[in-house]
Amino acid sequence: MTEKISLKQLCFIIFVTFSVSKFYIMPAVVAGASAESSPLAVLLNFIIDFLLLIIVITIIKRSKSKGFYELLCTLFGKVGATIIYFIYGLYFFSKALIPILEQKNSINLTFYESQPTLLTFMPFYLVAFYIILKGFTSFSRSVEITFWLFVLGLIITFSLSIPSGKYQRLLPLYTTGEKLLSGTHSALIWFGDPVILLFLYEFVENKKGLFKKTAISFTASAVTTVLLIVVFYAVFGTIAERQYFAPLKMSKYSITLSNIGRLDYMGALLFSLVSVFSLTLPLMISSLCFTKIFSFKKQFVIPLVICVAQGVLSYFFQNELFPLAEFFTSYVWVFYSVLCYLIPLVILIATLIKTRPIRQLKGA
Amino acid sequence: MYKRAKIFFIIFIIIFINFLTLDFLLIDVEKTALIVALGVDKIDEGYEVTVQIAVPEATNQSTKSNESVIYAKGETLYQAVNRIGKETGWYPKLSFCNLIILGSSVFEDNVMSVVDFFIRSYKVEDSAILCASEESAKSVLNSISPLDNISSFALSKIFVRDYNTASPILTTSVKEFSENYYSNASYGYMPLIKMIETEDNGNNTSQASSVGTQSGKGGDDGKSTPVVYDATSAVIFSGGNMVGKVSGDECLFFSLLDKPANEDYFSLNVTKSNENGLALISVRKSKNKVNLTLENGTPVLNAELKVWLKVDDGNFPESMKEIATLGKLSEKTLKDASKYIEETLKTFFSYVKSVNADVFGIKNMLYRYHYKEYEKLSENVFQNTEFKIKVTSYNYI
Repeated sequence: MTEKISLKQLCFIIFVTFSVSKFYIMPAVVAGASAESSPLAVLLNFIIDFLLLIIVITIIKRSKSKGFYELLCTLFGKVGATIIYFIYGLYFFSKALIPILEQKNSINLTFYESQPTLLTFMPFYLVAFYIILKGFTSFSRSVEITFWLFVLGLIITFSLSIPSGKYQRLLPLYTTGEKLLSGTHSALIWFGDPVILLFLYEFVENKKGLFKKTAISFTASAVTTVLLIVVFYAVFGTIAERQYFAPLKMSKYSITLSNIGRLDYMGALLFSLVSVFSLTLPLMISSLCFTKIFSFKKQFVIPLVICVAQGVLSYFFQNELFPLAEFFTSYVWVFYSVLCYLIPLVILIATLIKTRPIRQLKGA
Repeated sequence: MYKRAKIFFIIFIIIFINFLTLDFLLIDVEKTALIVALGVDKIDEGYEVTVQIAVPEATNQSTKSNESVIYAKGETLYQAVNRIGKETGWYPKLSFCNLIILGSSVFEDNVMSVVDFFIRSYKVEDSAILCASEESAKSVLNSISPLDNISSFALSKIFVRDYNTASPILTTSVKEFSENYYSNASYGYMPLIKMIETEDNGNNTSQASSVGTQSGKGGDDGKSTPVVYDATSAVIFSGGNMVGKVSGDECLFFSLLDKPANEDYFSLNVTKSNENGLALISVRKSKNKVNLTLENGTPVLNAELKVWLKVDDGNFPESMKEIATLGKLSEKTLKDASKYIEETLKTFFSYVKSVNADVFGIKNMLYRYHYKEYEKLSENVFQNTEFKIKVTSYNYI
């Protein structure tokens, strides 16, 4: 059965997964580096990613191949394509780790008073394994449904937190370039998402209006995330650096509603639900990459290996989220930036050279 | 098909076993101590923590809340809180802790050595109200109030009532206090609780019990006489150190510069028919505007306050016409009221300046609105700031 994603579903995937993955510890990490310049720092990240989106869409449009792997085969040969896919497989596998640990810690904090065992979070890997096995068609349909839950979560979170903010805390929005870039740098590991589209476009049914529609959904995701950062810093100010798991924290200060209960948990729960799909997406793409390289008779082998390996990793690092995030923001970002920004640029140049129109010589 | 069913069965068994073993480690509510208020006192050995616990009880007879007060000591605050669980067998759940009381002994040192525990620990919600006590925190939590069976609930009512509007009670939360402390101005304030003895014990039917090593309710550290609480004064901080106290109208007018009014009262001396009297004036509505400007390099804090007033009562007889006009103030009284508010705020400003507590956040304003001048002026900006206040009073009617 051929897997299919409609353009509308792709837009939902962009809006939901690109946003929610940045909601948890990224706002606090950026606030630690950029303080009141955090919204500008994150905006800069989105501008860089928008340029990446343009690069990716140009590659897709200029490519005459069925999919990204075929395009890489055309450009760099089968060996080159296999190496690139292997590296991207590792990249997506590692990219899932921090968000999974963020979610695990966030759930521990929300639902448990004492430290729960790993078994508590284990069902996530079962669900992820199931989602990967079902493929992109089911995944995109599920995201289409969760989109509305995500919007509801946003409405709850923002309506409870916006009135609690003191927006003068965001002044002066810009102080020094160093401070601004420090925040942009520290957030890099949560960005570079448009590269995902290179792996998904082979499943997209109708690519008419691809750039326009993906750009709109990407902008919506950027606006939502920047707004979250604005409200987050307005609510916490100088102590924002300590406020990890923003959706759980920022909306609890509504005095009127706190008397009737913790309505803010509704938003947090909805984000947790949506996160199941956002966390599975990099694992799915990692599985896709390795499936292209290693062919197994049984389809479930690679997804199973990926989910088990990720489960083992998150077991070992379950209490190391913050040191690990610091390690990633200090060192791993270089590896990520090469894969997210440099390689797509090289592929674009190679695609443009390969697909450039050959001028006919006069008189030939 | 059979193979798939077998896999699902194994998964089901794993999840089921997990569920049966301590419900996924979810805590049994009957073993949970819901801490509703926490008091901290400094002692020679470190800290003494007093917690007030609401005990959930299944009953179909009444909706009465019961409570227990537990004490624990520790070299650090965390140690003391942790000991509560170890000594009682309860899981001390702090997520419902809405009130944190700091005893007077805590203010001998930098208060942030205690407060930072509450922002460091995820166990406590930083939206909890933070307040100071004239006596020990233990005595406040042990006190008996005619207002509520649980003393902290009676206190919370006072603080939450006017949280979003101007009030002589300068309510603050752990988050706000910490945010102000870590800001450039590094200031803070919190309401100071005074216990006022009352003979009326109302319908108090407290069934409080005490566990721990120290005396219980109504004992050495508790008030056997019912008390009500006054929180209309506040302690102010500079860099985490307590530097002074303010009270009454100073708190109210300072609060009016930050929040809108909601039926606040102050007394004003008025002259009527060549006789002096005292009128109770209510502030029904207010508008404020505060900004920092630099005039020839000198920082000036410009405050503008518009208040809509009404006479609610007076210790002088009033004519029917005066009563019929529903507390309308004369032009002179309006001017007197404006002058009184201005003078009080000026005195307040001079006082906080003398103790170097930048409670107006002048250094923050300099950073936010005059960033280019910040490096040059920040060091002594508060001491060099001139305060200009203009109060205009209007009749509410």
